[in-house]
Amino acid sequence: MAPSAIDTPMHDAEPENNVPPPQLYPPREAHFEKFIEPRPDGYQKAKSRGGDRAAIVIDNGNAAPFAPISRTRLLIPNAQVRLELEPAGPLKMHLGSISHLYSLNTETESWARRIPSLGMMCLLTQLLADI
Amino acid sequence: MRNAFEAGSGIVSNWDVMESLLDYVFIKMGVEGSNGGVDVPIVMTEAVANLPYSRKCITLLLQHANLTDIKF
Repeated sequence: MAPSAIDTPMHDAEPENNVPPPQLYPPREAHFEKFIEPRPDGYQKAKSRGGDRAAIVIDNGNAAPFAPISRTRLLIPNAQVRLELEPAGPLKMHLGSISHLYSLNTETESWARRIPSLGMMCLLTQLLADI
Repeated sequence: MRNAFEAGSGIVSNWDVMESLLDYVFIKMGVEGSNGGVDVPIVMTEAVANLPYSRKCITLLLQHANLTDIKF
């Protein structure tokens, strides 16, 4: 029998208990949670600093360097639903996460269920604004 | 349901949806600048190797909001 099969190895592998648990950043679901109140305090604060001291960051979800920061003001899925309740009636438009509520029984929703996970990630690309 | 982005990519293709989304963001952020515009510069991310046409359209959209200082 080969020595490597019967000799105990000189350096044991590091026990798994020493490895710290990974920090997870799960993607946020596009469910409608509650009505989002307008929050003008951040804009007023940015204006008081002056035009060259603050900026609004709008992250289209492509590079996502700004997504993990904690000062995110608004995080909405990139979706829109138009509803025409009556023929030739007023057109109602819903934006953001509430549009997923209104699209439950439409053909588009079944299309959204059929697309693979990569497509779902594109569906959940978020538009983000921060001051 | 409509998405502003082209399916499978991060390139904006539906400009009506994008305009509505930007209006929605500015309303929720409480942006009410002088002369109905945005008084603060905007930093906007885009897809890697974004097309010049797409960037031109988003610039035109933001110019309608009386915003001239924009960085990509």
